[in-house]
Amino acid sequence: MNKPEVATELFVLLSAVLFTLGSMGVLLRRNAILIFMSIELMLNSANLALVAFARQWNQTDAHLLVFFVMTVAAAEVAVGLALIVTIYRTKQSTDVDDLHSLQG
Amino acid sequence: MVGTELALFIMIGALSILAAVMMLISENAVHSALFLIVNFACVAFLYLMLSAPFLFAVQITVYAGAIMVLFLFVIMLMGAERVLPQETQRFPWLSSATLGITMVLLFVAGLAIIRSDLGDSEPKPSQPIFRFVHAVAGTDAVDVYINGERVVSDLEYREASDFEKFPAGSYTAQVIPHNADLVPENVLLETPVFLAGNGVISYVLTPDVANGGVQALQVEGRIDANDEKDFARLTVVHAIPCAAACPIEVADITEPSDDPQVLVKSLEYGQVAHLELQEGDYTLAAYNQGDVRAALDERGDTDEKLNLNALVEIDDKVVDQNTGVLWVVTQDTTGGNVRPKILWFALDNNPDFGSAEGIGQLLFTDYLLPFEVIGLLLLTAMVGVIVLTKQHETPKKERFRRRMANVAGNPTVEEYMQSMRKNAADSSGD
Repeated sequence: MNKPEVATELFVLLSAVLFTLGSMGVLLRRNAILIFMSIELMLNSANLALVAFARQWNQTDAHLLVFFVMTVAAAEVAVGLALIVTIYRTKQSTDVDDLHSLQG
Repeated sequence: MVGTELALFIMIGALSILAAVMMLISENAVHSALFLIVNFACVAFLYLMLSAPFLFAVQITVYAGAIMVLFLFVIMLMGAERVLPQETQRFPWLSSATLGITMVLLFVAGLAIIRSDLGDSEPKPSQPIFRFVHAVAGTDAVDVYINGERVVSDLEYREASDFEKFPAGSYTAQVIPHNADLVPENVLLETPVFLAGNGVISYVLTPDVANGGVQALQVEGRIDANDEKDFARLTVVHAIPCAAACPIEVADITEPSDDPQVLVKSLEYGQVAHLELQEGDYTLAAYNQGDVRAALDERGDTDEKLNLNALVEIDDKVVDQNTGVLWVVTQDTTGGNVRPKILWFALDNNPDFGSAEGIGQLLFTDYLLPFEVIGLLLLTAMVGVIVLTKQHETPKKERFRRRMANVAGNPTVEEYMQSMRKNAADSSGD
């Protein structure tokens, strides 16, 4: 295996930046759909780090793990969006601040 | 000087960060979704740079395709594309706190990544791996059994099997003709196999001149990366059977104008030589031992062309840095005439790294159970979505009761209550 021109560190650093942006999105935005998109961004950055480490250690197993993460993400998106649609039907809003019925 | 790949990485990485930021600050949810698609496409491209073509395809189709279509569909369905300006934050301190926490997180992560010693570590196979190379000229395909279990099937002459991974230990290997029964009279060769540590072993099957039959030469090849030197490893095996001693020598004849550079002076039948070559294009040749010296002596100091005939030569093979190459000098018996032939096998420990084939193989061997579980999870999610989004219809009885209440002639609640009160007054008056 040739020594890669782009070091693994750079990929992991980019993944850390994307993850941070995703977590900022989750905490700052109040729209449920946007929060959901930010979660997808975080999942993707984790996948990127996994693929980078897979190349570093020459292990195909990590690619399989990424494949599984993508599948779980697809399932999660389907269920999550269904939840958002149901909530929108009753509340006529996707703002997460409106959902405080469980607050004591 | 920034290389092409690095420049590409910087551009794609910057674009992906830009797309993520734009996704966060867009006022319109549809725009956010479109920026997220750009980000996913960038990440897919980075997968390609990380030699993961299968994941590239999956990322584009599943993520940027299916999942984002679902997002856009839901946004448009609900008409929720316009994100209202946030008039009142429930927690006013949240924004500043979030910014602070994420900055600290990013700083710590960046520091950890920069100060790590990833670059010094070498990828290593975790288990010993081995393969068999069929170099017995003029014989048919063979099968190889390890401890009675068939691990190599239909190994033709001039072929190398895939690498097999076994836990360290000692095993017994048996070589029999292809599709023959595993009975003692069929066994061509029975040899102990020792696997240890993270060894990479090629067992080269060659004719056994002394006793007849087949022998296995154990050739260890290191394939781990060696970053400090730009060297590639070449392992030469002499497998041309001859009754008496017939040593060969290996020379580098890349430059036709130069004299051959003898790399291996003397290699007897059955012996193995390890070479380290600087990476580059090579033309290598094998000679009977002493031929190069004799030809040089014969020519003397004149400028004449060297009168030298190689047993066999192999040209323009690119020897990459950190690869290992196994070179088996053997005989070719195709077409009736016997002549030397070189078998060239790269010693790459993971030839299908990241390819769809490699992933598929792993998926249906080591990861079949997780695959099934994931499939089940998808099915559950599908059912869950149907249950969640099902419109809650009012029960049949209730609807019937309401309809009956509105039919003219039926008493309304007030009339009913009045009649009840009247009845009560009548009964008390008795």
